[in-house]
Amino acid sequence: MSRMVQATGLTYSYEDGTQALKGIDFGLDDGKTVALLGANGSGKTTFALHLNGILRASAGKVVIDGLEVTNANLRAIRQRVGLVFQDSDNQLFMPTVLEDVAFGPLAAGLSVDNATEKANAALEKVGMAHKSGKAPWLLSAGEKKRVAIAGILAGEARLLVLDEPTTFLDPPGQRGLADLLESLPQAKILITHDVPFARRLTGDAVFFSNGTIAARDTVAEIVARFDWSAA
Amino acid sequence: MPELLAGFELLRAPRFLIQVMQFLYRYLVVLLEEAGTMRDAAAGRAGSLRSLEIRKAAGAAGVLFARAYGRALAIHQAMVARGFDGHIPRFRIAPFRTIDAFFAICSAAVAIVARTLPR
Repeated sequence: MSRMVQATGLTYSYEDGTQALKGIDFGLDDGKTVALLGANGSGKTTFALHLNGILRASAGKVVIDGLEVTNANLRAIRQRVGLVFQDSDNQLFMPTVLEDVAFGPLAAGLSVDNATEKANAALEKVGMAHKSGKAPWLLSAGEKKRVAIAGILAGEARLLVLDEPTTFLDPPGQRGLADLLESLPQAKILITHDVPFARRLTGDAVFFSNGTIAARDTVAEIVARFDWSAA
Repeated sequence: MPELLAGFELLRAPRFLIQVMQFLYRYLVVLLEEAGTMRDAAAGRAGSLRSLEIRKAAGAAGVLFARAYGRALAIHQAMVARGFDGHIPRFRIAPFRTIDAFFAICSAAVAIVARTLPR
């Protein structure tokens, strides 16, 4: 099985000097799923933003599917890594659902016909084909999340990184999202505080603490060791 | 609105102008929702919005601007993550149909008649 993500000694400091990541070593194989747990501000999202080069390491390196995250590889990296942001409204910026989902393939240089074909296939996969002509702001939170996922599937991402995917979703929406993610073969990184959701999708978890990885174990072990259950 | 934007594309309106209109259309509702939430929160604590001083209202407008700026940064980050490199690729431009020509001719005719009618 090939390595999808390999981060080595990843270190990052914000402009104000705050050291957000302190020598992270992390690996994930193709097709596997891992949950990133940890307190707010512990470095989970900062780590995720390094995976497709939005943030660049102060030291250390990230390799995605054999390609190091560098300026020369940025386009290929962004086709491989699909980020789903916490607030879908930030991610769905085009006037219609179809145009939004087709954005990635068009930006990658595909023709309008090919991009439309890929967008329609991705919308079909997430069960949103019937909303393709709608404006994104007319969708429910669960529908927006599905369309956001379609947007990265249309780009044929091989790694899905989902930041707090259950935020704003009601319980049926959360169940539907878990069903959808279970059906997708790509490697997945779930940044979440929702332990039951993480437990349903994976047995593998990483605990972030103060910019470091404090532990990697099963979700149950991590929850027990760090007293990480909500109630 | 998407049809109107497509029409502007067809008429070769400047891309920058179309993109500004596109983002305004997309995010005006979101910003209005945020403003509504802030208004309700303020009214909930102040009892009524009328009891708020103008200075405090100006402060709230500043907070709304800061939120809009924060959202703009988040949107830009999401766009970059999906391959945005400074320009939004063109999607399908609607063809100019007979019905569009008919509409244009009728509009022009109404305008001419209105202009030439005695006052």
